Amino acid sequence: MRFLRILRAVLWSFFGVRRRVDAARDLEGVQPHTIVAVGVVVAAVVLTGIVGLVRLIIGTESAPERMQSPVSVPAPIGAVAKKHGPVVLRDTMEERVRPCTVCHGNNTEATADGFSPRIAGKPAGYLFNQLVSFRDGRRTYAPMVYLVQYMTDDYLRDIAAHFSELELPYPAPESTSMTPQAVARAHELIEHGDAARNVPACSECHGANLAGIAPAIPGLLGLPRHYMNAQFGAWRAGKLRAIEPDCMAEVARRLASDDIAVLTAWLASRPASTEQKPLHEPNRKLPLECGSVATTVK
Amino acid sequence: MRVGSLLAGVAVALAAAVGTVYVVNVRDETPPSRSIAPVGRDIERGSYLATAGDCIACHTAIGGAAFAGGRPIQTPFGTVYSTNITPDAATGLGNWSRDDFWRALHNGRSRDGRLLYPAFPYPNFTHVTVDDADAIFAYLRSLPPVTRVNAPHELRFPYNTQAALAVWRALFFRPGVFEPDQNKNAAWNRGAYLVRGLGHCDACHASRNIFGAVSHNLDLGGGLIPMQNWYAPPLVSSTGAGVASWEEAHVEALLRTGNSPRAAAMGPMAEVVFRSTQYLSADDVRAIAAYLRSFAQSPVEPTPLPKPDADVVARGALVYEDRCAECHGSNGEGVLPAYPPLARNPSVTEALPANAIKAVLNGGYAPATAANPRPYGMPPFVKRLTADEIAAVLTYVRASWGNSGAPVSTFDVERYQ
Repeated sequence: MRFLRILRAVLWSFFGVRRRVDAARDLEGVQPHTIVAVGVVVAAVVLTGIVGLVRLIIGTESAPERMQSPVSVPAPIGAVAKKHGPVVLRDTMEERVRPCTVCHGNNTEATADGFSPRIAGKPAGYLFNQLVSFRDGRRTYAPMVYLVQYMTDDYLRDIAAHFSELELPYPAPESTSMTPQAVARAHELIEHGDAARNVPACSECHGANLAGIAPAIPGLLGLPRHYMNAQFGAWRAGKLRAIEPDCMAEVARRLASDDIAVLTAWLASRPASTEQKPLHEPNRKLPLECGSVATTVK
Repeated sequence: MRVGSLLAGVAVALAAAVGTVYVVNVRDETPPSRSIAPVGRDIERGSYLATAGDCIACHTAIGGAAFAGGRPIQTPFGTVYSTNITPDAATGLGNWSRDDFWRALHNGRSRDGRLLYPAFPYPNFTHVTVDDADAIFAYLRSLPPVTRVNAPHELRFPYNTQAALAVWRALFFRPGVFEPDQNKNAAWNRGAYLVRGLGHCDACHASRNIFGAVSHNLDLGGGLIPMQNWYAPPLVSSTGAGVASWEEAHVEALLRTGNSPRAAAMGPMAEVVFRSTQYLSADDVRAIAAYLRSFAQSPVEPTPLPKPDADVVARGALVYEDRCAECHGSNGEGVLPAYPPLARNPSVTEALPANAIKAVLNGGYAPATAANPRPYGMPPFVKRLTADEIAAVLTYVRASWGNSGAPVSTFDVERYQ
């Protein structure tokens, strides 16, 4: 009887609120150390209970979620014409870059949409640098990162070489409406740059024919206008990076916003042809320091 | 006086609870006794073991210096940043002793006494032997030191407190040693040591409870990887995409080349093959295969599925002919080693369609390995197909050519992307 009284006192103390007279009655003639001992035992019981409850929850919660293997459902296909014969696997780079050509164009056209850039015929060193940048976190476009994240430098070099050697016809230039003043401004920037803002002429690095300079500087023609605008925005926001020192990001930051719009409109409107090949001048003196060029030439 | 006694009782009870948690957290922390002094071959052996444990994957930021840490690891409780384990004195393991390193691996406690988060898989590494831990430490000491200050973790309250971690450890962590099973041969035991210990396969291939702990009764039973939403198939079961009944040669091929007649390594497993398993010795790969194959069972009796909507299947068939059949074949036959067959492929018909959805959305290449240096790949269709089209084409694939997977909904596609 006395033990029950102590137990009751301890449990009430766990609850914390009780009439003083009741507490006094329960504690009459009880030694403090008895109370403490019972307290410890009860605490241990409660803790064990909580741990047990947690284990029980885990046990039920992690029961297998998997369904049983179901029986076969016959496929009602009949209606679809089967265009494709037996699958033939060719041991070629062309076969291996199929994941690329869904967006960048196949053998007959360079780009399949208005956003993905043309990569055919660009200098191999430039393409390799971009692939490495996607793998190593300097560029972050998720579908590209997924494709190249577990590739070696050697394989990325093979892929870059494959596309650099492709000679695909260019799509028709975009029709953009530009004022005569805007066209004149574009010419000015391409040929002379903007001295006030310390912007070099585009042609100084990308070549007089704007077809790029091998091995590491890309051509500027045949690219979608939306793509170029997006790249300029990404450079200025620090979301698109190259090996430091990042010369093009610097140029993008120096250029006036209006001038970027003028340049991309003009470049997208220019006809391009595979006759215009990148110049091969690995030791050309550049107006800015470019990490991507320096590491490629080295 | 009486109130005082009550308070004392409560205080003692609390102290008992805290004391229990404390004692549980520091048990088995005496430095190990070593019979032999470290020898020169330790560095080479340590390099191999560090690769088998795939230390580099988490302890290297994307594009960062090897082993210098800083890679964010997303968990349901916040982001944990991996640490610098190069021998830099100020920011890495430069001032650590091999006993400190052993305590981190075996007890999950850092040199400064802090409890470590189990994103560092010490519930597995606790089974690593003293010799192996010493060898890995010797190898890490031989690396070029890199100065990179560790980033603070970004965990929510209460997960950011040491007290919460101590309680978690009291519930879910026991330091242990690997005990070989005397009834099994040496290869099986080596496989068990690699799979359960150093290789920490159950970090992904097991389900986790709501406290983020791997539940031991379903160890290696497969699970959806938290935050990444890739489904890691069961390793010790033959159901679905489970690998327990695979031929030894297929397990070996997957681990060493990233590709096999049964499946290709995708997503997080592609990274594991790329950075770790392709470098394992032939003996170790065979040991892993032998261990996994010891769990093979006969397949479970199938249960009937709801019939997929005929309109959805018909739409899916059109998408399939247009986008998939050129490589995977009009009858889902595929062509190895490039394009896996989709007919009767358990990876395609898994109850959780996460991996199939991710494959269509993001595409991907098998990892470029020494044995398969120029892999073929799958295009990303995230910008080419709508969620509705992806659901239809997967529903079609999962119901055709002898396949029997439940329909995939547009909601599934949105959920697992």
